[in-house]
Amino acid sequence: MLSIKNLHATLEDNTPILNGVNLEIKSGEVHAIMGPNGAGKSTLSKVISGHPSYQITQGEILLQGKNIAELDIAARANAGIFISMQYPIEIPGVNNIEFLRMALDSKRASQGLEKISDSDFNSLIEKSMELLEMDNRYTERGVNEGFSGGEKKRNEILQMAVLQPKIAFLDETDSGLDIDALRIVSKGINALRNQERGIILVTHYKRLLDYVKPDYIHVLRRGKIVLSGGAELADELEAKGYDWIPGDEE
Amino acid sequence: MKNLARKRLLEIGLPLPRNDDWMYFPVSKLSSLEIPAVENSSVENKNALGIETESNAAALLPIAFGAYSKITTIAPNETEHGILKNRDEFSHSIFKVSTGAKLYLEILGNKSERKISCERIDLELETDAEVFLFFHEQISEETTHLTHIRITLAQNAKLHSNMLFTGKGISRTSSEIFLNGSSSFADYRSLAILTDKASEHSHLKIHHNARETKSTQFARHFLSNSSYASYDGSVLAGENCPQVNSSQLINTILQDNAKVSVKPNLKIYHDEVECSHGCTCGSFDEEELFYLQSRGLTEEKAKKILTRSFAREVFPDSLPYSKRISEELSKLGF
Repeated sequence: MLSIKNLHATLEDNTPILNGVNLEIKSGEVHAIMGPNGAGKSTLSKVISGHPSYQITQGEILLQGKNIAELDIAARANAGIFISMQYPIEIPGVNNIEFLRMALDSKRASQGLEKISDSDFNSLIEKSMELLEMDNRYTERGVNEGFSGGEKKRNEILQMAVLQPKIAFLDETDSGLDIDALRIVSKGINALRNQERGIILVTHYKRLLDYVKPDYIHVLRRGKIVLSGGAELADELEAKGYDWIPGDEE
Repeated sequence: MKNLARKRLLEIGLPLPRNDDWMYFPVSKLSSLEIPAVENSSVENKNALGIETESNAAALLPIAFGAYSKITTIAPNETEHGILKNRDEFSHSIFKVSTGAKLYLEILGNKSERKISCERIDLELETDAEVFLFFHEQISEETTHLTHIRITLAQNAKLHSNMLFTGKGISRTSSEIFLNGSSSFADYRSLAILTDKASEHSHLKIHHNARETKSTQFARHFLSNSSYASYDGSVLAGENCPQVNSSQLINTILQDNAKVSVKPNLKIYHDEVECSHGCTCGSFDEEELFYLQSRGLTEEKAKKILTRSFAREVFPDSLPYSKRISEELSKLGF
């Protein structure tokens, strides 16, 4: 589904920030990326989605065999890349649901499909909001307008549910969530986990991985993956931290 | 009143670039105006509407050029809805809002195609009166329009002023608000969406002349092509006026070769006041653009959405005229 091969990226001032990331995500798999602050986890998500502050200097990002590194941000999104932001922005004055509809119609247009009908869209929204236990505030307000940190994260998963991406990169989706919100958001992620989609979770804490069981865990440090393992690796990292990991010397 | 205005105008003269209050406005556009001579006439009401001491030429011009002063009075505790539209080249409207009365007033752009037109609007709010104002300036290209709005508020009176500027010509709107009664309140919101060679100049003075008065200013500009806007906003807190509260926020998005000049002024003559002001100017926020594009929207569409958000935030849904303003913004594609 998604192959990241020897990916190197720099900031605009040529500061290296990803130093040869290799990652293979197959359909239906859930991968977790952990690592210390400043390791490059959020950067990886931004580079994959085409953030203009970073430039790819080497390597490839293949989505279903097609290199998407040359595509612009919107084209990558419409090809099936979805990033749940660590800090979703607020857009007052633009209704949350209208925005979702614009995004969905944009994706459909890229696939040569007509705009979604009112009834289909309403049914999709209703079903998705029910899954995430969301109330009418989410339909009445502007995008993330006045939402708490947890509500914004839940709204990100609503967008994922509506846009049905091939690859969902969830950047610290668990940060700022209380226990109930974590349970609800995790339920949403699990419901969206299927054989048509790959999911990448970026997290600092094992608690999200207790709800959403990953198939693989990777440790990213200094811009490259230095260790990979199964779900059990989370317990080891929780107990020992990152300093013990071999091959990660300065 | 006409003669008083002419006399005063002859004393202060037409605006010059060196006048602080007119420094951003292309005053050469007014050079063709010739102040009419003072006529021999009967005794006039001395200093009506502050004319004898008026220092703003924009406040004098319509009257000096013979505007008929149309007076509308809202009876105590009554509620009236009004629309002010087709006016003459020089016009003067006075609204007296009596105690406890409410006025919803929509002032639509003067469609005068004259090269220069000037108008003055006076609003006098008595105790507990409340005025909701929607002013839409949309003058056409090659024309110059001056508007002067003078508003006085007595105790507990409230003003909610919503200004929308979408014209293509040159306009200057000066507002002078006098919070004369304790606990009176003025909320001034303005949005200028300008393109091509449009040139819009807002000049605002809020006088806090009584204790516990409050004013808020929230102005935004969205400027593209070669348009130009200026915002000169002053707050004056008087020396016997404790617990004054005032805020001023001005945001501008600039595109292409557009320009903006912003001049905030705070003149505080009492220690016990809270006054703040802020100003931002720039292009689109990169993170906001990225967020929208990461949902599959093109850069062009993302900018359109952000512009719409920027514009609509000035007038929240809770305002009486928000739906009306929303319609106007929709017509403009926002």
